[in-house]
Amino acid sequence: MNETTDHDLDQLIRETIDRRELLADLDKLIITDMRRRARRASIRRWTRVLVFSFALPLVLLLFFACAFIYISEYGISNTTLLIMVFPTLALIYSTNHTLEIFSPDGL
Amino acid sequence: MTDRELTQQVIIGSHSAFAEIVRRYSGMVFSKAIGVTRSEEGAAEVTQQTFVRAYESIDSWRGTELGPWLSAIAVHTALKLLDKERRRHTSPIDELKPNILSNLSTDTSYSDEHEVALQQMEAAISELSEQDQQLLHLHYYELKKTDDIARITGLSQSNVLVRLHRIRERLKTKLHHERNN
Repeated sequence: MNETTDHDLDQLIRETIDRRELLADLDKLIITDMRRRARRASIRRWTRVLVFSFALPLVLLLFFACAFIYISEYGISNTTLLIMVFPTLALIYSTNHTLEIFSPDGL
Repeated sequence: MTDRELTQQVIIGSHSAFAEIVRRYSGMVFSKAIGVTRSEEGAAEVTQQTFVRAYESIDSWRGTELGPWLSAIAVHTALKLLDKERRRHTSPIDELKPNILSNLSTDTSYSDEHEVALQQMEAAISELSEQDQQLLHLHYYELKKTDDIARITGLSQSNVLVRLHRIRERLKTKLHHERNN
């Protein structure tokens, strides 16, 4: 009876120590995962800043330059205006979307 | 440092504060998860997901202790995992292999009583000195022989045996005392 109890105790100690090791590994895994997520979030944030600072103004500039060249070449007509409606709407939508991303919540 | 202080540190970007939260509560979350999933693999997955979810929504936490909040997330995550498992297994029932069915119905690797005993033992081991904990680790986890343990710790072989015996007795008494209470 006593032997069985000692065996059970040994088994319980062993399982507890195993659990400790498992939790220690799990802790490391969670912290590594969390750091990776934080790093990715930071990269995403900086990419957005770069896009907002450079890519968006560049697109706007290109659009206006193209529009200026086209209008100075062919003048303003109803067809020109009609052709420009679609890219203008797309540009307004994407600008608004980008601004929304950078605006604080509730504004 | 209190839980509230730790979460404030996490919100301003401290990774070490989150690591401290993980160290403080991973045992509790794992224990909660294994109570629902009844398997160590499932519990490990739930524990990981619980802390990821907690990290992502820590700024919405309003409380004094993180324990109940993390427990709620763990139980919710574990139930979702079980539900997902069940759905995967309940497609065409005829196609399920007999061994999968038997695994679902008779998983005997977990019992509440055993889990409580593990937690009591963990508490008892935590109260031991650093060196005694090291002796247990070397003996039970690394399965080192007495002469190896003696060499590593700088104790004599007989001293190692005596100390291991005393530690076991102390743990047995402590556990017995806990159970009687």
